[in-house]
Amino acid sequence: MLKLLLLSVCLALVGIPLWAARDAHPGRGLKRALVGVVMFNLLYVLLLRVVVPRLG
Amino acid sequence: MLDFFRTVLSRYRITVVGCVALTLLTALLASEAVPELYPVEAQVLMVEPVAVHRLANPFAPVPSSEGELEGIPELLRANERLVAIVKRTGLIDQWDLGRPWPLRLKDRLQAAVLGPMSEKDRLDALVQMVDKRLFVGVEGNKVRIAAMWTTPQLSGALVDNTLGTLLQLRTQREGKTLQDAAEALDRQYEGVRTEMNDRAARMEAALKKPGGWAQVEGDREQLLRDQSRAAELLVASEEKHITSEVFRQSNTLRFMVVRPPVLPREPSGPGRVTRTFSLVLASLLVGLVCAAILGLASGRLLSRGQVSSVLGLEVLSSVRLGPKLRTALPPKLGLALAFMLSMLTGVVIAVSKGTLLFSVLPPLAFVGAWLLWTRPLKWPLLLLLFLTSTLDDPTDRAYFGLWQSPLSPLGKLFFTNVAAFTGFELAILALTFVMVVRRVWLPKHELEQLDPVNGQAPRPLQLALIVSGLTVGVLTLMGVARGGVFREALWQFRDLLMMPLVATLALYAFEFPKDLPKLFTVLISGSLVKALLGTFFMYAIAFPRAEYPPHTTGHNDTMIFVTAVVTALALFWEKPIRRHFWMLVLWMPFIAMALKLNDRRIAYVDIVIALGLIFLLSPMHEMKRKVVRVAVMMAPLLLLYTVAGWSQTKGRLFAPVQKVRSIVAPAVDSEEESSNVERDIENYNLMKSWENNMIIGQGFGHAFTEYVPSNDFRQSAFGHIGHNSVLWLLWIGGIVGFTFVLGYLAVALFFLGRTLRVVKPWRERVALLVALGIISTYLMQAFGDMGTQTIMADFYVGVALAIIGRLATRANVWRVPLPAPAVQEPEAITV
Repeated sequence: MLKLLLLSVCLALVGIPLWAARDAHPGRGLKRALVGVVMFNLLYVLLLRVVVPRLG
Repeated sequence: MLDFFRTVLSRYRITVVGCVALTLLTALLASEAVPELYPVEAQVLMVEPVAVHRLANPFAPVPSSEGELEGIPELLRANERLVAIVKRTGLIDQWDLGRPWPLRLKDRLQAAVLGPMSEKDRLDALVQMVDKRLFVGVEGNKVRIAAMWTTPQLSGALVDNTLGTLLQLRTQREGKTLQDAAEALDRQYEGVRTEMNDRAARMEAALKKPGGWAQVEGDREQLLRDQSRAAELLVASEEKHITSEVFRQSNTLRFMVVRPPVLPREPSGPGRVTRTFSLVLASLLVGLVCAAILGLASGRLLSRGQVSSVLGLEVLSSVRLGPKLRTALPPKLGLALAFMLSMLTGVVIAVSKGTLLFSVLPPLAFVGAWLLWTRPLKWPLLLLLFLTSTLDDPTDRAYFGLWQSPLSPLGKLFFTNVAAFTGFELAILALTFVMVVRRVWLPKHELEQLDPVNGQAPRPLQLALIVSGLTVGVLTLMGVARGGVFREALWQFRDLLMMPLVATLALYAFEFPKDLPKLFTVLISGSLVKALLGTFFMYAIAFPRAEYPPHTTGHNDTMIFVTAVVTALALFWEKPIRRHFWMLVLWMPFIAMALKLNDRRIAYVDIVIALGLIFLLSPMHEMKRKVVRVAVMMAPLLLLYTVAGWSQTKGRLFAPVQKVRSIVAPAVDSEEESSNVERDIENYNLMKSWENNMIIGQGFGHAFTEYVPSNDFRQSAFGHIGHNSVLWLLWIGGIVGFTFVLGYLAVALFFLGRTLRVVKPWRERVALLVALGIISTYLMQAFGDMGTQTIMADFYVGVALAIIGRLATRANVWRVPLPAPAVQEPEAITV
């Protein structure tokens, strides 16, 4: 579980842009991809600070 | 081409003869200024005389010679020892002996202008020279001493003196240590004896008093303990004295001069015959190249080949060059280049003492530079990609240190430092220089004939690469400003900085889909060469020696094998024809064998993730439907097999399940679990270190803190490079730096996703799927095994980005919205 949490940022870096690529409009899709990656990275910070220490 | 050389040699024969003569003359003159050096070598073997120790003291352990030779080279080459050697060998008085006459002339001129050199300056100069020409090395329990000087006698004297110093030094150092230890034990023994005597006197006095027997009882017990301690100290002290005496007596036995210094008759370097041959060959080659320079510089079409390729006419007469031949130079410049090349070659021949490889290097380097300038950049890039896939990386412990493949000398040249940069980095910088100069210098129509300038990549991808490079630069400045060491930072950031450079080069040089067959030929052939070398090593080298190394090639080679597997499967997935099936059958066994022998668990994870992504992103075509059907049917059987094999530890039947378990949930006492524990500790240390600078990070040039000790700390260059490059990059750059450094991957994957939805030809789809596999493998390798710290990853990801960028531009996915999915008309209801 812990490993999966740590790995999640790599999976998000691959998955979010591929998901955003489905958007019909290229500009909007790229914005979604970049915003999605940035938001996930911030969530990752929270996971590392709060959740991971509790998992030991 | 023959026609061209025949014409230019005939037309410029006088100048060619002049160039050849100039090369010969320069080589002869320059060789006069380069002193001949005579090498002398001695080897000393250090052994502990076990028999002497056992006879002298049967109960004491024989001292081990391991580790005793550490520090010997530094001790023998310390400044005060070099000064002593210079004085003892009389080098100051023999300064001029063997010195070439041009250098003696230079000394006289210097003395006339600046005054004679003082004794101290001469001594300092000689000490510096001896420092450069005296070599002391330790190989196992052998000490190798070598020196090179202008006369054999002086070289021999330098080696003899150093040998004598070695023997004396060891005697003094080791003998003194043993003697000191013996004396320390003697002092302790005396101290205990004195205390015992005092205690005995106190006991005697107490017994004479009434009630003194109670006090005596406590002292009696302490006295017995002191007696026992005194006996131990006495024995230890005697042993040390005996060992010291044995050492002193047996010093001659301890050192065996296995290779005494022998005065050479010939100077170092190739023999006379080789030198003459190199001189003649290099001069002739220079003549040939000078003729070519003059021919190209003339601005004329000189051969049938040139005329027929440019004008499509037979040669009737010479004509003025049109604007198409881009190598035209002013004739005087051509002549000047020819003469400079001649003189440079002459100097190199002299300095290298006629070594064949170095002698022909200047004209060959000139030809190489001309080819680099006049040919498309994709060729040197493809060559570098092939080399990175096939050469051994000495820093990655290829073949477990048991064997050096025939490619290892080239591997050392390309993977290790040559003047602060590795060979690959120098090549990348040179190609980047050529790319920039071409773009600035050449007119557009000439540039387009060389490289596919247009349609490189969508602007956001180019910007993301620039941002990544700039972020690495900013993190370096920040880290050094915060007290980081630039030298350590260089090790940390170099591969991250090379990535945007290689990607930009690949985007510039390759034209996809036209260059796809060339690219995949290089990737597949590179993987086959690597696989064959690994298999040969195991079966022909390791197993016959009863060695069973856990891995064959290095960590980084996982990328090569995974790419080959993904390519083979993607070809059949997108175009299931017979040809692709037989390609799969023919080359997959080699790759599978190489993967098995290299046995990196992460490789299997990389393959599964890459294939999983390919499966998810593919439309529901015939092959996908078949795979889904088979998977649904086999699922219960696979589940039973996995459950049955989960707890099995022996036997080959459940080996695949055991491999999966070793990755996902290794057994507690297994080697995989202990490796996982070490990595978990390192991840913890990285995360704790990151907490100090979560937003913008620490910057390059520092080591993360070892909050919990781990065995892996040394492997991570004492905290400078983490095995988990993802967490390591998070610590280096904080969340901001991490996002900017790796942001180009997100942008590239976005364009890949879009292009895959639009592009139809199967070759382009396969290329995109392989690019996806490369990027996912890069991220997995980064997470598990220092994946960002290898130049090979830079090349592979660079070409992946080039595939994505070029195909995305060609499909116009940045400018044009995706077509709406086709809507099926509902069937008309008939009554």
